[in-house]
Parts: sequence; structure tokens; C-alpha cells
Amino acid sequence: MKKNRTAMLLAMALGSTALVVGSVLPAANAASGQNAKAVGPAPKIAGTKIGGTLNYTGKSDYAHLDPQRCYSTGCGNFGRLLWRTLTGYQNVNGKLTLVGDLASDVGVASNGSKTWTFKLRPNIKWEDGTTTTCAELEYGIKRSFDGTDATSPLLTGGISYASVFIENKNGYKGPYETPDKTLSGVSCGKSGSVETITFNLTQASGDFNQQTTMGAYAAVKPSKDTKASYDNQVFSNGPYKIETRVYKDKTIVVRNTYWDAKTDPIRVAAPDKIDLLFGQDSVNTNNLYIENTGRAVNGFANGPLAQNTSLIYDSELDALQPIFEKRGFYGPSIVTDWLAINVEKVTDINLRKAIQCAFNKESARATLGGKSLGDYTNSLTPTMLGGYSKYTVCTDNPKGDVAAAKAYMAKVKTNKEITFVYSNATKDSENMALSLQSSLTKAGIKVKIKPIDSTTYYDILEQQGPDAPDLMLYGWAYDWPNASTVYPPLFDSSLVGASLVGENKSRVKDKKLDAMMKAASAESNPTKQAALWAGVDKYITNTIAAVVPFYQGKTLYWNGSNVGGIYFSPMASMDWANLYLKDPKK
Amino acid sequence: MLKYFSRRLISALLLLFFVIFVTFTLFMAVPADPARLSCGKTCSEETRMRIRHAMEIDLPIQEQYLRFVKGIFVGRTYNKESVEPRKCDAPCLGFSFRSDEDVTQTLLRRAPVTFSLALGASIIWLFGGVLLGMASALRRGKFIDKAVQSFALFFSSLQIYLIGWVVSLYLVIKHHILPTPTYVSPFDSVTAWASGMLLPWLTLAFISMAGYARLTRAGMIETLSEDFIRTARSNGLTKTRVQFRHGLRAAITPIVTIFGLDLGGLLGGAVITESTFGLKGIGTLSLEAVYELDLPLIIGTVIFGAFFIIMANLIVDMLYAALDPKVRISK
Repeated sequence: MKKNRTAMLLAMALGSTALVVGSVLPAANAASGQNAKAVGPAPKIAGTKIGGTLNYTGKSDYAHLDPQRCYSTGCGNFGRLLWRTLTGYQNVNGKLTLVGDLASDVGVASNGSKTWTFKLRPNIKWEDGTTTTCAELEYGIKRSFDGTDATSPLLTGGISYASVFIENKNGYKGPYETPDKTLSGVSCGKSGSVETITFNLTQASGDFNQQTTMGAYAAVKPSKDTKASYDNQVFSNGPYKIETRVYKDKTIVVRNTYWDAKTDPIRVAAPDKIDLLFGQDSVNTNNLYIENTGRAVNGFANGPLAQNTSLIYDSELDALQPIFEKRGFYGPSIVTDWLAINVEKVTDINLRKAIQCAFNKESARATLGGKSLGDYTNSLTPTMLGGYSKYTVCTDNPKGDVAAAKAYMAKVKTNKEITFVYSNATKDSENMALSLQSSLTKAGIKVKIKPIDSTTYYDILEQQGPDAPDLMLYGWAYDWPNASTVYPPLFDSSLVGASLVGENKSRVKDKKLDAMMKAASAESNPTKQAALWAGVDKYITNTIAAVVPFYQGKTLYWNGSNVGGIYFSPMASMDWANLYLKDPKK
Repeated sequence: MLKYFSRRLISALLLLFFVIFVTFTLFMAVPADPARLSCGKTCSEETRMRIRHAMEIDLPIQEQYLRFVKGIFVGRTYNKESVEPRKCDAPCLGFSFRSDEDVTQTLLRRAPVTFSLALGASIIWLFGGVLLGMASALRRGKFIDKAVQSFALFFSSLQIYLIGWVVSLYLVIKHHILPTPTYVSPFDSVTAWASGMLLPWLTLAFISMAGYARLTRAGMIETLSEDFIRTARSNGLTKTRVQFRHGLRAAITPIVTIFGLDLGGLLGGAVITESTFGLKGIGTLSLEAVYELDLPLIIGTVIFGAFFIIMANLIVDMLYAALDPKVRISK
């Protein structure tokens, strides 16, 4: 997920994993398991009670609820209450297991992981009582092609994995523009009395059955498809259906009475109703949860982290710790941030290594919010993913190593001035830039800091040409718990175009790296794949020194005293599927 | 009077057109690319171009402007050549780049919140401010005068975002003295509407009231020292009649002017008040639009606000002319 400010809020809005205060510790490689025969009902947490109204209070609404347009972790995790995807993650105490959702298995790969076949689970009902069919799943998947390939797309905003991975020989451009064409890479069939769906892919993908947990692989009933308006009128085959939806204001979902828990190994769906209120002031919301009163008693909300509100000082965070321990959780998120070095402009690897050594992370983090911002890291892989390992990039000292930086600078042939760009949206960004300039200057690196208008900041980051920035702060959150959604979207050579570079902010065009990522993506054995991603990580940070890893963000939620089932999910969010009210009548 | 009104109306409309032109060109000419924000994950340059086409922002700016103005009066159809053209009825302000919602419909949906806030708060501050100002002027130098001046000084130095948080914490969250600020349509329940808006009304009104009290006091003191007041008294008119019929009427002219401008500005959206109390009106809408670079929504909220400010000016001019005949004669 690209981490602009909005995406960041959305990512943090229903944010992430690892160290849990008053909750459960997920495993390091949280998504390594899979169960091809999982059936409903989903495992319940001890003490789960059915009924009542659960509240959520937030600042920002989900940009999209249409499954094919949803790309943030927030909408993905809430959206799963309304739509079921081909596969999904069963979450037991923070440990994820890949299971079938619309599918009854987790798929069978063939043809070197270029062909995947899934059996579909029978008797999954829409909110009108009709059964979800393979044709409706195929229709849903085809809608992704409108957002990426249509001449005048209506369904903008979704992820493009489906249109990139699924073979499209006929120039298919979505069900609206090319209703008479077929999408060659998807076909429905039958195995006995069971429906099956088969995908032919453009490239080998060892974790394609994890990709199918995304909203792009949700069914949509064609007769209920209201196109761009579907965002606010999602027709449900999940445990809840929309009762009220006013964008940026409120969303109320109530039970889909046709949903059968026996068909669903993922969602417990304990509350009868969920009431989401958006556009609320962060300070008032924080006070509400500190006091545990009003709608906070039966609810949960984001806590006061630097990413969610304005700066929060370490002392304030410490003062609130007793409340987090009683009612909430606090730990690392799925977001990592780093300094991207433009390798096309900063061509001398010694200069890049000098930047890695000289950067004072401690000083820079203090300007952006201190420890509530996140924990220092030397890896781009979040700690909860397979492939994460603790290793050193120049130094483990967060203050940096000026002597080592100077040693690299001694080898630099031309000490050219580098430009660090930052958004002028907040004073914090300017302070961070000044901190960076100060720390790099101590090692003899010439740094110019350049403020960019916040409205054009992200446009500037990806532009090519002489004005392209040399150094910039950037961040990323994975889409599903696999590093295949971290490295290829960020470092694939094909992203670097003549005028734009997409998410490849370091402008890396490295054939060896491409081959390493391709091999890792194709590997279907999770342990081997994790080892390959670890190699990719170290190649980017240490071998070509294209980035300076900075920190892994934090997630904080607090909940009311009547809410149970609060623990992290490595799906980057509060797991709505397991929440319940301790006293549903309250 | 009719001629005066016609002249004022024409100049108001011209001004509105000017605002539309400036707003549109200013925002649509920004170098940022809204298609990037609407584009999804790992968005390619080609996809972005297609989105720009769907948004019709790949057209020359003058063509975009002509289509925009045409849309306001007769409506317009987006992507006519595509298989899924989108119709936007007049007065069309376009579709949101983020949510695809019709901007006019979004403004109309949010407007009742802002109108409710503006209406309630302005009534409280106008009557409260004028009464306090009068009391202060009529008891000049006495305890009540000093109390009102202290009150005015204290409240005029406060900011909504500070006082809003404090009163929310103590009166709503901690002690449950007032209900949580929320908007309920008065057509559904007048009681729920009034109780939900009470805290924002009082907060906004007390801060604005302070200025009105000081203005009324100054105006009344000046007016009450005029010769015609002495004449009125010497003619045997009652004290109340002199103070209200003659004193207040003469002193209120500048207050009407300020009130019209304040109310017009408030109808265009009370950004800080709405966001502090979590009210989803035009103010928070404009804030969200700026934050998300949702250009049609930004333009829509600016035009909406400008419309009310210009209309308020027009009404103030009319009232001015009604209160003071010299105004319409001199024009």
C-alpha cells in the first residue's frame, strides 16, 4: 500500500501486529500455515457472546467499500464483513491460517504455479437468499479490469494485482466496456457436483492463493452492480449487510440473515449490529475512550499515535500506558518507513553507504513523534512477515556512525550535493529535514533540503528528470502477509518509466534484483520463500544501498470496557471477525 | 428602491461569476495530479492517463471551464463517447474525484447541518450580544458594564478549538450535563435537533457574542449622546421608547452589517466549529476536500460559501437602505 498521508491513516485506521499489551502475541511468520479443509463455524474466543451493538469511532471513512476498489487494509478488513473473497485468513489468537472462504480449499497449483484451481464452497448466500455462484465470482474478478484497463474507468482505486497476474489474451477491459469479450485467464467449471474456478496466470506465483484473499477476488452479483455507486451499496454475502451508509459520516451494518456460520471458517460475527461513526475529532475521541463513557463503552477507536493525530510526546504516551494495558493494544504496525535514495542520481555507492551510516535515526524520529512513531529497523520487511531478520545496515546505533560515514566519504569520487525533499504540510517534516541535514553534514555530506507543497509532494517523488529528488522519506504497508507485496511493487525495474517511477522511488533498475524477486515470488514453499525474501531485503539495503531503513510504525487501539476479542491480526488490522460484547444487553 | 435593488443584484451576480472563474482556474490549474490519488495500487502511467480522461481533466483548461459553467446552468454528461456516460443534472458542479458522488447532492446533504449551526448560533449571539451591549451602555461605569466588558474580553480571546475541547470534556464526556453534539433533522425531532446542536451553538455564540456586545455598547453610548435623543427626551417620550425606538435603531446599523457578513461566512461553512464537534457540514466537507485534493468538491464548497457571502452582502445592503433612506438616495 502506498503510504501517502491518507493511505497511512487508513492503514493505521485498522492497523497491525506483533507486541500486544494485554493481548496475544502473534507468531513471527504469522501467515505460514494453511488449512485446505477448514469448515465453519469459525473458532470462537473463550467468553464470546452473541448480540449487541458494537461501535467504532474514527476520523476518516474508508475511501471505498466496493471490493474491487478497496486497496487499504482498513476497508479490506471491515469489508470482509460484507463480502467474501476466494480465500481468507482464519485468525486464532493472532495466528493466521490461510483457508478457503468462497473456496472450500486453498487452491491447487500446477504448471509451475502458473495455473491455480479452487473448488467452491456451496450454499453461500447473498442477502436476498440466493446462492453465490462461480459466474458471480468471475464477474466480480472481471470488474478489476475496468479500473485498470477500461478506456474511461469507473471503478478506480483498486489494486491492480488481478489485471497484472491474470492472463488476458482478448483485450478484455472490464464488464462494462467489453461485455461480449471473455477474460481468458479465468474459467468456471465443475468437478462432480462442485463448482471450480481456474486461473491461468501471466507469471508463476507461489502465493497466488494469498493474493486471492484481496477484495479483487470477491463475488459481485451482476444484477446488483451499480458500478461507481456500488461503493455505498455493496450487496452482501458476508455476515452483515448495509443498513445505512452515508460516506464520511456513518455506516451501520446489521445481520445478513441468510449468512450461515457453518459455511464460514473465518468470521465469528458476534455483534448483531455494528455502528461506525466517522469524521470525529481525535481529541474528543481520545477523551471519550480515556473516560470509557458513552459510545466508547461498547466501542473501539484508534489511539493517539503520532501518525493518527499530531505529535504525542513520549511522556504523554507513558502516562496513558495503564489505560492501554486495561483496554487496548499497542505494538508494531505493518508499515515500514525508510529513506529512498535515488540511485540514478546518487550513483556513487560509497556516498549511498555514507548516508546510511551518517543518518541519525534517533534525532529524526524525535522530530516526528518519538517512540510513538515506531521502532528503529534495518529491514524493509515488517517483523511479522516471513523473511524478516535482524541484521545490521552499517550500524545498529540509532544515532548513526559518523566515523564509518566519513570512511565511506573518503572513497567518494565526486562529493555532489544531494537534495532531500519533504512535504511542507507540517512543521514536523521540516524539523525532520533539518535533523537529517545536520546529521549528514557531520559526515561531510552536502545536503540541500527542499520543501515541496503538500498537494504536489507525492507527484514530485515519482517524477523523472533533472528535478527528480535525490533523497526522500517513504513508507509502505503490505497487502497480504507475504513479502511478495513489499519488494516487487517497490523495486521492480518495470516501474521505472521515462517520466514516472511509480512506487520505485529509489529508481532501481537491477536485473539481478528482478531475477531474485521473480524467483522468490514463484516459490510456493513458505520457508524457502521467506529465505529468498530475506536475501532480497539484504541485497537492497546492503549490496546496492538503495535505501536507509528507518522505522517500523506503531499501532494503537483502545476499546471500551464492554468489548472483547481485541487483538492484533497480521492482516494489518483489528480483526472485526472476532470482536464481541461482553454484555450484549449493555 | 427597485432600481437600487436591481443594481445591487446585477453586481452580486457579476461578482459570483468572477468568483467561479477565479476558483475554477485557480484549483484546476494546480500542478498536482488528482488521478494519482484516485488510482489504485501499483498504478501504471497508462491507467492514470485513463483516469484523467474519465475525470475530463485531460482537456484544455478553457474547455474544462466552459463545460463546468454549462453544467451549472443546463447540466452536462461526462465521457459521452464511452459506453458508460455519466449524466450530471443542473446545477452540476461535477463528481467527487474520491467518492464519485454528485457534488451538488453532497453539498445539499451537508448544508442542513451548517444552516442549523449558523441559524441557532447567530440568533443567540445577536440577541445576547445586543442585549448585553445595551445593558452595558445604559449602565455605563456600573458593575454590569464592567461585568459585560470583562465577559467580552474573556470570550473574544478564546478560540473554538480550545474551548470546544474543554467544554466537550467537562460538560459532555465527564459530567454528562449536555448531550453529545450531533445533528438530527428538525423534521425528525425538534427536541433532538436542538439538544444535539446546543453545545456548538453556545460555544460559537459566546465567542461571537462578545464582539457584538462591545459593538452595541459603543454604538449605543455614541447614539445616546446625540442631540436628537435629547430632543426625544425633552418631547416627553418614555425612557424605553427613547432607548429602543431611537437609540437602538440608530446604533444597530453597523451591527446589521457585521451580522450579515458573519452569517454569510458561517453559512459557507464553520470549519473549526464543525470539525471540533464532529458535525458533518459544509465546513468539514471543505476541509476533507482540501485534504484529499478533491478538486470538484473544493470548487463546490468555495462557490457555495461565496454564494452565501455575496447574498448576505446583498441582503445587508437592502436592510441598510431600509434602515437608512440616505443610503438608497445617495446610490
